[in-house]
Amino acid sequence: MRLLLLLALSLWPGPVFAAWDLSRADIDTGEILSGGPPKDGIPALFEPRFAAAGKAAFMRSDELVLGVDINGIAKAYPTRILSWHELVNDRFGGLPVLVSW
Amino acid sequence: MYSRRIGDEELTFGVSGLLYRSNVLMYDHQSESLWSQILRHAVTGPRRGAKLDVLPSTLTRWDKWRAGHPRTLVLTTATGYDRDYSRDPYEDYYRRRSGLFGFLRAGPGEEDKELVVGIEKKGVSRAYPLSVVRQRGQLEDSVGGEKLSFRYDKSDDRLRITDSEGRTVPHVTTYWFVWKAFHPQTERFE
Repeated sequence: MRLLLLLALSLWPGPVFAAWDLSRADIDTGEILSGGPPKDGIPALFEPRFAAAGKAAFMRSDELVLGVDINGIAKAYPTRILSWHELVNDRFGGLPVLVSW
Repeated sequence: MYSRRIGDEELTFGVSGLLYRSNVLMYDHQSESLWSQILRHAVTGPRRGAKLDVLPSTLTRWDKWRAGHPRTLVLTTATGYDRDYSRDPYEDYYRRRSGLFGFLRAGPGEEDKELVVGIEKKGVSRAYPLSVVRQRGQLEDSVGGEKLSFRYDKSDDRLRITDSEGRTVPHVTTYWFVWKAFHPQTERFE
């Protein structure tokens, strides 16, 4: 879902591709572009912290969230936070999940 | 939203910095394979071909989500990173009418940034404009010979799609131009 357009606007050549072995790709590697930042230049989250809805004074009522409800656990991920990190490695009970934006 | 359990392993993922058809490629730390989110599998490296299982998620307003899920938790800005979370860095991009990449232009009468629900069954791809799904509330359709039933719940802005046996059918909600880039043969429900 997430589009790195902002970063694509600043396409710069660099050692970005050197980090990856593309020799056995099953897609046309000519269509792979550098998004700008290097590997992990956009930091994924690994230990996300949450607040209860009643204690989330930082939230505006009309702002956009990605809502997830699994195994009786509901979590909302504000898109203004997701946009800075793209990926959140999280967990719903015993289920390891990846939130992507 | 995906499961991080692949086979009997639990993987963690990071951002590669590479784009494929203007969509982010991510990588797993365990094997450094690259994964495409929209193709839903690993495209390079030792895990090439391994599939990602999609889990249901809903893009909605905070007040609506909270009304439908009073006990919800919400991700906080205590991420360990110093970022200006008061603004979305993609705000300007959301407002732009068309995509940056020329090969992703919309056709006549189509809106690039329209949100669609995309489904793929037995080689058939079909996109449902989210506005149509929301307006109708209920919808029956057949994709790749399989009967599908759409139920949109206005109270929490949630869409459930099930097959004839009541199983949840995975779908993605994305921009029309993104869906079309990955499914050039896609049909469009009107």
